[in-house]
This record gives sequence, C-alpha cells and structure tokens, in this order.
Amino acid sequence: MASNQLIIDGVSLGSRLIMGTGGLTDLAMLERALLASGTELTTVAVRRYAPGSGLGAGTGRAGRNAEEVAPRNGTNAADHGAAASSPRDSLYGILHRNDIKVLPNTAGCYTARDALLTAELGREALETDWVKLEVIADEDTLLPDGVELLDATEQLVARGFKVFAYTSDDPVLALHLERAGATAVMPLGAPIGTGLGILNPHNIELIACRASVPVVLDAGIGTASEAALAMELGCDAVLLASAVTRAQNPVAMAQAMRYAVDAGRLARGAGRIARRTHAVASSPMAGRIGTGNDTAGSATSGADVPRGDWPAPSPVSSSSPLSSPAPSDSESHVS
Amino acid sequence: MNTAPQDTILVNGNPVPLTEGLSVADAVADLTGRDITAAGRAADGKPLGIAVALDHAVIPRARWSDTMLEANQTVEIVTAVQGG
Repeated sequence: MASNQLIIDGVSLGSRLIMGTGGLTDLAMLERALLASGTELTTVAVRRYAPGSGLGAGTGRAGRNAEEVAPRNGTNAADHGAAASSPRDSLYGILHRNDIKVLPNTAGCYTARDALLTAELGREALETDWVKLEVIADEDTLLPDGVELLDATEQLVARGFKVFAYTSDDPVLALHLERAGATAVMPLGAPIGTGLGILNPHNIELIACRASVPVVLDAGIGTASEAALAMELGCDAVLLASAVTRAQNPVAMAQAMRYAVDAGRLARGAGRIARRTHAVASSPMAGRIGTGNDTAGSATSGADVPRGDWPAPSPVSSSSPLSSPAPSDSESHVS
Repeated sequence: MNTAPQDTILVNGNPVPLTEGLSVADAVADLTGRDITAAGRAADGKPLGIAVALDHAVIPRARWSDTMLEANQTVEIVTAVQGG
C-alpha cells in the first residue's frame, strides 16, 4: 500500500487528521488531546491581541469560542479565562514544542474583502502562506458563501497564498475552486459544530474522486465512525475540532479519531465488498451433517454457489421461502 | 496648547493617547509588554506571533519600527487564538 504520508504543497504530513484548536479552555487538556490525535497540522484563528477588550467584529465560530492564548508575559491580562492552564503557557508554546504546523483560518469573515485582510494578517503573524479560507454566509448556518469563496480564492492565489478552501459539499463548486488554484479543497460533512456527520456521502465521494488536489473533509464530524467514513469515501484527510474538544473525554476521542482516520484509509485502499441485499454464506453448504449422501467435490444443485443479489426469484429456486410466485413470463431465469 | 485635546489613535478599538514619535513597534510593545527589535521580532528571541494592520493595510514587521503613527489612525494588532 502507498505511503500514508499526506503531501500538501510539497510538505509531507505523517498524520491525515488535521485538528482545530477551538472549544477547550484548558490548554493542558488541549495539548494532551492534540498529542493523542497524532496531528501534525492545526488550525488557529486570527484575532485582536488581548481580547479582554472584546473580540471585535469577528463573530464567527472561532470568534465565539476563542480563548486568548497568545504569547504574553503574564502580567497584563489578569482577566484571562483559562485559569486551569499555566499563565505562561500558550497555544504557540504547545504547537512549537510539539512540532505541530499552523494553519491560520479566516473564520468569522463574511466577504472576500474581509477574508483577504484576515489572511494577510495571518500570514504576517504566523509566517506561513497557508490559509484555511472560510467565508461564511450567515451566523445561523455558518455555511460557506460560494460566490465570495471563489472570489477570495482567486485573489489569494494571485497573492501567493496556498488556499485550503472550506466549501460546501457541492461537487461543481469544488472543481471551480480547484481550477482557481486552491491547494486543497475542504468540503463540509455537515454544518460547523453540528456533529451531524456526513450528510451527503455521494457528493463527498464524487468530490474526492474527481479532484486532483487533496480533499479534506472539514466540519460536521461527530464521532469516530464518521471520520472513518470520510476516508472510506476517498478523502485524503479529515479536519475536525468540536468532535474532540467538546467531547466528554477529549483525549480519548482524539485517540479514537486517530484510529478512525487510519482505519478508514486502510479500508479504502483494501477495497470493500459489493453491497448485496441477499445473504451470502461464508461457510460451505456442502458436507453439512444430516444431509444424506454428499459426493466429495460436487456441489449439489448450486448450493455452494452464491445466489446473487435481488431481484433473483426464479422457478428453479422455488425451495427458498423468500421466492415470490413466478411471474407470468416464467421462461427466462436460470441460476 | 494646554487646552488642546490630546491626539489619539485607535488600538484594537480602544483610544490610546498619541505620543510624539510613536511607531508601530512601540504600539506593539506597549500592548504586549514585550520588547520589539528593529526587525519587528521579540527581543527575547521567542516567537512573537503578531501582525499589524494600519488603517486596514498590513504593515510588515520589518517596517514596524520606522512606521510612525498619526492622529486618528486605526491600528489592529492581532495574534493567533484557538479556533477551527
């Protein structure tokens, strides 16, 4: 099987689980969860320094959840809410000492114009060209605004950004974003923070199979099986935050997500069996006790032959209790 | 002159008195409590993780120390916080 490394923009990541960092006020807990997840890339939001004075205009998901975690000397922000963590610790400290890369986002932006300035600030502050581009339509759904998103993608690509475009599960828009130069396309499974899983697996699979850039399932994951499903559908990676940070046991859930992503990718590569509506025995029918003479090697009347899928009723298999009465044109079927 | 209102700038939405020769680097140092080098980095050598927008335009860190603030300008000083 191919290497498990995920290559994005020439950078090799050993984990296909990308973590958000919002939703946990306890930085020590966040660090343990990040380590348990095995992630090598995490998103962060860009906000005013020392938000004891308020978070400003950004009222998106990250904005509502944001906890001030910037480097500080610990003396001028006594109102910091994360009392459980060391006052000298910081999100930066955690990410640096664990060698976790940073993906700044544009959460809370409603227009391409806002997103451009936020992206520029993120690039300057964190010294990376990577940006998770998030342009939302409204506060209630937090759904991506496709028009503004495409516009912002074109402009950011022109300015040299590597755009990770958070988008809807629309396969057409995903292709537009790729053509506009997006480095990765990140369709949602369900609206941010809902934990509804993957609402349209068909679309996600279609996006994944047509894309020539990495596809990251972003948002909506609630539990491990859904992360595995994303990978089984052909996604290259999964990005999640709330499913871990708001779980009752974030560290355990982070570990579950790590295994789920690995399991889903393995299953995808292994090639699943076809779906059937009819049972197919995995033990031989021949040689059962109490069935009379059984000549070795000659399966009687196709008993060892899988009967195939619905619709399969035919006159010659009338012994099956599930067989319906033969239709009037009972001339055709042979098993 | 002693009755003239003090010139101010807006730093992260808060009015701040504008002192003579106040640079962007000074504003960052005042807000963060950290010393800033001429290159726009933390003097303690640790990551600073700060970006500045002056009237909605990003000022690269290398220009912080020679960019002087003027009355009524809007300064946004941002950093990374937890988020999705």
